[in-house]
Amino acid sequence: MNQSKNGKISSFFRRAAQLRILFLVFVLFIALSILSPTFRKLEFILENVLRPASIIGILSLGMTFILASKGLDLSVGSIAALSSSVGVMAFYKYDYPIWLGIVIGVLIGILFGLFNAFFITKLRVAPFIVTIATLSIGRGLTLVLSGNLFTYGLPDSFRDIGRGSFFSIPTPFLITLLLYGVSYYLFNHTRLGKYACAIGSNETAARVAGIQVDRYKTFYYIFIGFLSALAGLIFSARANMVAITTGMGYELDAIASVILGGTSMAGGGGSITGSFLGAIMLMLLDNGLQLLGINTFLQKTIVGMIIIIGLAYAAWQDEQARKSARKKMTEKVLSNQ
Amino acid sequence: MKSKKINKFREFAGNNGMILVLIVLMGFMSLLSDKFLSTSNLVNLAIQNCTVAVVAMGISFVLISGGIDLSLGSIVGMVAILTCGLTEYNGWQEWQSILFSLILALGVGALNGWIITRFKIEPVVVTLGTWYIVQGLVQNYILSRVPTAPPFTSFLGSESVFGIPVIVIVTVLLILAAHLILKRTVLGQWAYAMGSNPAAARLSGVPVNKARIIFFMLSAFYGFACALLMTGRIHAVDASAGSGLVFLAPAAAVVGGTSLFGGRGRALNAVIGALIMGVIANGLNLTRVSFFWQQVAVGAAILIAVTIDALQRRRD
Repeated sequence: MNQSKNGKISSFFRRAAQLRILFLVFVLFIALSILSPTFRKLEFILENVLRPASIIGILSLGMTFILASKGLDLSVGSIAALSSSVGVMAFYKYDYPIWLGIVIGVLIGILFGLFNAFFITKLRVAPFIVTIATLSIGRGLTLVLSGNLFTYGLPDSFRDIGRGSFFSIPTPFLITLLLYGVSYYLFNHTRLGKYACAIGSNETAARVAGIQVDRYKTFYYIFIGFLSALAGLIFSARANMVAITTGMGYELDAIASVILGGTSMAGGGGSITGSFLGAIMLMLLDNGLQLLGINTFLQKTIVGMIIIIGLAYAAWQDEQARKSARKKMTEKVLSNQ
Repeated sequence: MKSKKINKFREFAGNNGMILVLIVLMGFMSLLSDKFLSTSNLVNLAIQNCTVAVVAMGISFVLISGGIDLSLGSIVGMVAILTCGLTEYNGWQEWQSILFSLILALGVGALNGWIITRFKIEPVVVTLGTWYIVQGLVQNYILSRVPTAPPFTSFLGSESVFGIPVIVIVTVLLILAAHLILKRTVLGQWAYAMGSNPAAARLSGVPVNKARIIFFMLSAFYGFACALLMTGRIHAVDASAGSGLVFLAPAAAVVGGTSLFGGRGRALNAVIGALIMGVIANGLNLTRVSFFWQQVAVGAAILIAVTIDALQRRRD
C-alpha cells in the first residue's frame, strides 16, 4: 500500500520535471511574442528557432541514453567536427558521390562511439576521462585533416540537407523529428531504454540481474556517435562550410538541454521529450536575448542559473514531500496505537 | 624473501608508475631531439607547466574527496580577467582587484560546495552550472578587450629571484603546502575518508558537508593562484582565458595517478601529470611536429595513462 503510494509520488515528480520544461518553454515563448511582433510569425519560429535547434536537439537525444545510464560523453562536439570534415572532404576534394561522403562521415561517428565504448566497458575507465581524451584526439585529427583551412562553397544538393524545407518545415527539423520518434520508441518501449535506467540506478544490480551491461553501454555510445556525425553534417550543410571550430561547446549545450529536460545526472531515469524541449528552449533563449539586445554571453549565465535553481528547487520539493510523507506516516502509526 | 622483494617493487611501481612513464617519455624525447635535455629547454619546460600543475593540484583536493569541479577553468578565467581588467579599465589599485577576485573565487568555490551539500545534487551538474554562470558574466564584462597584466602579477609570472623564476618558487610552495595539508592535517584525512567511503566517513564523525565546502574553496584558491601566474607569464588576457584548463586540469591530475573515483591521489601526482602533458607538447614542438598532432598526442597520452591505471587496478 505504502509502496504504491511512494511509487506514485516519485512518478509524479518525474512527470513534474517534464511538465516544468514544457511550462518554461511555453512561458518563454509567450513572453517573447509579447515583447516582439516578429515572434508571432510562424515562419520566424521555423527558421530562427526550430532550424538551428535541430543540431543540439539531435545530440540531446543520444545524451539522454548516456546520462540515464550514468555515463557521460564530452566528445560529441569533436566527433561532429571530424565526421563532417572527413565526409565533406570525400566529395568536395576527392569527388566521391555525396551519399558516400555522408556514409563515410556517419561511419566515423560510429567508429568513435565504439572507441569510447571499448575503453569504458572493457578497460573500465571513467567515461569522463575517456571522452576528454577522444575530444582532444578528434579535434586534433580534424585540424590535421583540414589543414587549418576553411572550406566554403559546398555543392547545392548537399546544402539542401541544411537549408531546404518540405512544405515550409525545415529539413533539419524534419530529420530531428524523425530521430526523436525513433529515440522515443527505443527509450520508452524497448529494453534499450529500460536497461539504460536500470544500469544508471544500480549497475551492479543490473549485472547481477543478467543484463549484458557492456553490450548495452556500447550501443549507447555508438548511438550518440552516430547522432554526433549527423549533427556535424547538418551543421556543415547549413553553414555551407567546414570549419575547425565546428561543434565546439556542443557537448555542454547537449548536456544542459538534457538536464533542463528533467533527466538526472545521477542516472536511473530520463525523458527524451524533455531533452528535445530543452534544446528548443536553449534556442528560444538565444533568440530572446538577441531580441532584447542583451549580449549573448549572458545566455550562458542564464542557462547556468536555470540549471542550478531548477535542480535545487526540485531537490527541495522532493525533500518537503518526503518530510510530509514521513509526518503522515508517524501520525498514522500513533493514531493506530 | 624474494617474493617479498618483488612485491615491494610491485608496490613501488603501482604507486609511482606515472613517474616511470615520465622518465621513459623524457628519455624518448631526448632521443628525438638533442635540444630536449638542454638547460634552457628544461627551465622552459618547468616554467610552462607551473600553471597546469597548480590548477591540477587544486582539482586534486576535490577529486580525492570524491567530487569533480568543472567550474575551475572559469574561476581561473574570472580571476585573470578581473585582475587585469579592473586595474586597467576601472581605475582600481592592483591589490584591490586581486583581493576582490580572490574573494569572488573563494565565493564561487563555497557556493559550489554549499549547493552540492545542501541540495544533494551531483557535483558535475552544479559545477557545470557555475561554470556557465561565471563564464557568461565575465565574458560579458570583458567583451573583446585585451587588458595587460599589472606589475605585481607580472612579477609573479615572469621575473626571477636569485636566478630562480618566481613562478617556479610559488608553484613549489603551493604544491608543498598541498602536500602538507593532505598528509599532515586532519583535513587531508577527511579528504581520503570521504573519497573512499562517504557513508563510513560520516558515521565516523567527519563533518562531510563542511569538509566538502572547504575542498571546493581550496580548489578555487589554487585556481586563483594559477590565474595570477598565468596572466603574469603571458602578460595579457582575453575572454577565452582559462577555457583550455576546464578539462586539462582533471586530465593532468588523473594522468598523474589521482583517481577520478575519490580516495586516491597525492600532491606529487598533479606535478607528474602536468609534466607528462608538458613533455609531450614540448618534445613534439622541438621536433617540429605540428600543434594539431600535439593535441592528438595529448589525447592518446591520457588514454594510455588511464589504461595502465585500469590494468593495474584490475591486477590488484
